[in-house]
Amino acid sequence: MTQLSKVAEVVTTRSPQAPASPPARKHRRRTATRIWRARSLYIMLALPLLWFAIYRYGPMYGLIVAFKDYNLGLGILGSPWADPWYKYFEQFFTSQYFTQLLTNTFLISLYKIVWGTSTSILLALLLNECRLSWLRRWVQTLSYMPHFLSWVIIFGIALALLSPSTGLVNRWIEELGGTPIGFLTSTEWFRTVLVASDAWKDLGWGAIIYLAAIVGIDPGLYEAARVDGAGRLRQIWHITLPGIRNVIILLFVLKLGSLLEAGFEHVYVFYNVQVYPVADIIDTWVFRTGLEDLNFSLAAAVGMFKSLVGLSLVLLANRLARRWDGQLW
Amino acid sequence: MSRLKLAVLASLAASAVMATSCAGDQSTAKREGDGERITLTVHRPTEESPPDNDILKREIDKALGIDLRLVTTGGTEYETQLSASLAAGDPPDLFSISRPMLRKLASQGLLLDLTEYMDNELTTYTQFVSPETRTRGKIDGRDYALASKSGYFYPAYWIRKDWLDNLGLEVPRTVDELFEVARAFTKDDPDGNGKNDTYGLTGDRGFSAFMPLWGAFGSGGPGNFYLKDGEIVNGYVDPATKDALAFIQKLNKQGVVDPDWVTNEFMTAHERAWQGRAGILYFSWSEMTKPEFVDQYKKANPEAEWIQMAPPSGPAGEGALPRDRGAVTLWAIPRALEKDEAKLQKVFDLINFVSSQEGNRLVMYGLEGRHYTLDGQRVVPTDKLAEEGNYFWLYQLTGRDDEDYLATKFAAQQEYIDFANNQPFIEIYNSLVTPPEDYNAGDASRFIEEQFARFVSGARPLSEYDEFLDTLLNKFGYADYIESAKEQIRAAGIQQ
Amino acid sequence: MVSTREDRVVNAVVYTALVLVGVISVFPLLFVVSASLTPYSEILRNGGYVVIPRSITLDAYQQLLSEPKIPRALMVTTFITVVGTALNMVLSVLMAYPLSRKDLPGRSFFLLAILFTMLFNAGIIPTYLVVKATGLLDTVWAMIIPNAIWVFNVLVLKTFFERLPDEIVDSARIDGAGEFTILLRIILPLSTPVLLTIGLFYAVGHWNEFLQAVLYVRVEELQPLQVVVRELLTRSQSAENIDTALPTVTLQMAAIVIAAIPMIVVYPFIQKHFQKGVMLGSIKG
Repeated sequence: MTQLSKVAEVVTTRSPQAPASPPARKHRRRTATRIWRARSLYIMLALPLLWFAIYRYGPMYGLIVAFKDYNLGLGILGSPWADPWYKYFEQFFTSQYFTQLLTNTFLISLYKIVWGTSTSILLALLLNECRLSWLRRWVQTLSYMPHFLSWVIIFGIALALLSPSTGLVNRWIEELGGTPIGFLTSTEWFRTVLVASDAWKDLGWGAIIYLAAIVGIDPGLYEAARVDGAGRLRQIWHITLPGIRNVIILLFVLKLGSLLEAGFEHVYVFYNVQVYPVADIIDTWVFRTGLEDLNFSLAAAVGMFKSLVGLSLVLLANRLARRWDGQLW
Repeated sequence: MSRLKLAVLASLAASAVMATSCAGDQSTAKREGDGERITLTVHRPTEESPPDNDILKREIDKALGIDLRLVTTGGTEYETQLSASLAAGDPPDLFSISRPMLRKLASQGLLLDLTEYMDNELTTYTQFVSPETRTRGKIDGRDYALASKSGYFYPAYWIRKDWLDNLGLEVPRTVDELFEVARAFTKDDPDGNGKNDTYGLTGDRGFSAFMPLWGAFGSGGPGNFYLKDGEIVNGYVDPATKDALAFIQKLNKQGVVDPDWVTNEFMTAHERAWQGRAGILYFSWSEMTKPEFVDQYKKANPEAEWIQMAPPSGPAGEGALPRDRGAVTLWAIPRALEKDEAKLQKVFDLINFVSSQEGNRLVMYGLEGRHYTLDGQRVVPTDKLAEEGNYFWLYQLTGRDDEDYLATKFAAQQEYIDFANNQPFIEIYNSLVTPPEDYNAGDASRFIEEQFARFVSGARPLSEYDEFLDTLLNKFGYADYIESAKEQIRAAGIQQ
Repeated sequence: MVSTREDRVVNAVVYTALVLVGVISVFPLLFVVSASLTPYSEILRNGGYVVIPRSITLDAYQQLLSEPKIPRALMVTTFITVVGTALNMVLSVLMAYPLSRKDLPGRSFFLLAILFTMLFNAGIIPTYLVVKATGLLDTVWAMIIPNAIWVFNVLVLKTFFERLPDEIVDSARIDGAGEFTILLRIILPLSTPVLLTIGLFYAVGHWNEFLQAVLYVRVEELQPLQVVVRELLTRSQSAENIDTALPTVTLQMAAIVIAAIPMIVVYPFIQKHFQKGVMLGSIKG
């Protein structure tokens, strides 16, 4: 049995339980003992948990703003409850564009996750398989740079390439005898541009974490496989990929939690009136709607909606992930 | 990690700590002052901030016996930050806000009612601005904000004179002539380079290219509120807008407008014109005629000669530009300051100071002797003004007298300044309007933007305009918005 | 080792693909760098972008670096990055390790509790109130502490810690080692790649910090780099500020380069830790 599957076995088998139906007293003592034994671990957790308590749970009461007519002067607790309590949720759900917003957000986000993850994994694999260390180092560094450009800059570059009148790509198309394509203004192409630019920006950045995972795979496994006569492709398929499986699953599950995010700044910078039907996402709608009068309650209600959906997805995904031993808890 | 790396990192960290704590010390020292002086925090929304060596601050501090801290925050974060500090109970002592926010904060009891103070403590201010300006800061008849003086109007149509000359054309005066010129610019190779790479007009997503055209058809501009035959009308409802739209649609369909205008941001629109891609641009004289800009575009296009052009006349008569005189800065004071009389008085002192002759001159021109000299009553700027005075406008809280200011600072551009400011205008009152409570501005504005873009480009035929209007008024609740707006405008004293 | 035919094909594909990746990653950056060195008038003349400038100017860089604001902002950002990342790593590791032990009582509870905070955002104003209540407003710490732990990073660390074979920890426990010892002597040394990765994530996060500075720090001297750079990039003309010159494309590009360079320079140094087999081999020893 390979080392890794041994590890997997150890990891998934539950620690030996107490004997079935123990007397109540003994059970309590067992729990108490377990807690005492783990006291160092609790000490480690103390400071971080304190931080969470103060800076994450401290403000949590703010979630009720979604149900209130928030009045700055009266404060969160003093503001009157919205009438009806779902007033701001209703405002969001009854928007003329609700279905569109939801669809756009969902699709754009999903495409980004799928394409982003697969290209980053692919790059990580390519880098790992690269025997020329100078090439590997150079490409690793270069591919990581686009992450640092802000969307405004990337949009400028996108314009320079894709604008119907002056864009490089369109000039080539014209030279080849075709008609220019309005990549940024056509509803057919816009989402592709969005997803592609996102994948490009985070290609190297996303690969870092997969690379770190690949490095942690026991080289002995590769040795053993080679001795067994496995070629490189089979090694990748049977060792590398399974070896980083739980990292892939982790990232995938976490990204699902923010499925309704879709990248506000990205969309906002890139979109224009002509592509609203395919590009307007929840956050851009909230931004435009709340802009005039700082409607905190609306923003809070929408935020809560997104969070609830995200939570459900994560719970669902975690349950599915159990099948592959990749569960978070 | 190796010991060496750890050591390097540690020393880096240590030096960084020392460096910033030194900077921190300095700021604390500045902030505490000599304990006697009251600290005033003034907050305004803009990306720019005063330089470290802030001459104006020093003078103001001296004159008023305060420690003035002018804080700037850019863009959309400003309102969020302001709301947060109001909610937390430590707002700035004086801050600038938009009219919708003014209405909201006033109704939530967060702003100081200034009505009583206007004719007592704030007389210098009230004498500085006109009563009409003062109404901009009123909500339901009470003063809640101090409005700044409105300035000159800067933008106008600019056209490539050299292209006109090359093609033997005159400056267009009517919309039809404009169309012909735009067509010639697009099709007849005005720059003579043998390439088909030019357009008539260019602009940005905000429809800037078409701004001067609405008036030619009798419209005050889509979505604007203006007076027509004594009635307050809304630009979408006004049939004249549809006529204007027909013309604009023609411009786009005939391909005489740079198609990139849909994606252009403010900053790139004029660049396209400067590159030589288009021959007609709606822009401010400050970018078109200040020496440093002329320098830039001349280097790219040495033969380029831009001149101003009046808004073209059309079927409705003389052309006109929509102008909102209410687009001023509104300054509000938090209600909590009521309890700190000494500080409140200092805030009033500050407002009065920048509105007084002495103070206003300081924030416009800087220090006498250094930034300017006095020739009798006339101000003559020195080089230092251009060098050091770029941030002065931040302190021009209640505005400035644009006539004097522009004449002094930009004497060389006087004719352009006057031309732009003397164009015929249609007064619009949008700045007096805030949307009613349940109006879904986001949905309506999206619908409008989308459909308008389609009308303008010709994707949607104008015969469907009435249908669009109907949907807008009913399905999107725009009719309610218009009703509320009319009431608000009437309440502000605009005659019906 | 004899290279098989498959080997050579795979190599060819890998090299070609990587070269392609390198090219598409770098050419827009070349554009940014070259634009930062090209005089604005030339950019205008060439329709908005130039790949290889005919004349080079260092004016933009000169202008930026001589403005007292930029070097100072650089220092502030450096401080935040160094100190902040250190704090982040300590807290994150202290949290991730216990959570990676399957036998920790209450593990699921803790995990759900922190996951919840990642999914539910309390809102800007309540957070602001807490930041104020803990005395961080207008100090440099407001840019370090409120975001001290990223749940995402903790979960990644936890997952990586879980991948290490249990036998090592078990045998150390049998030998009588305490949890702290295990963490410091065994887990951490074996986790260099992920520690560097997460450290990098935090560091870059700090380096790009913008929103917290704008919200919590109303003091000019403490503004970090990205805020100052933004100032230059999003300037627009209004009626009042006609005195100020609009920043040119050249200036904007130079600002971007200055803002991004340090992070880009750091990366190659930590790259060598991403080499195969360096780490796990030591387990056997």
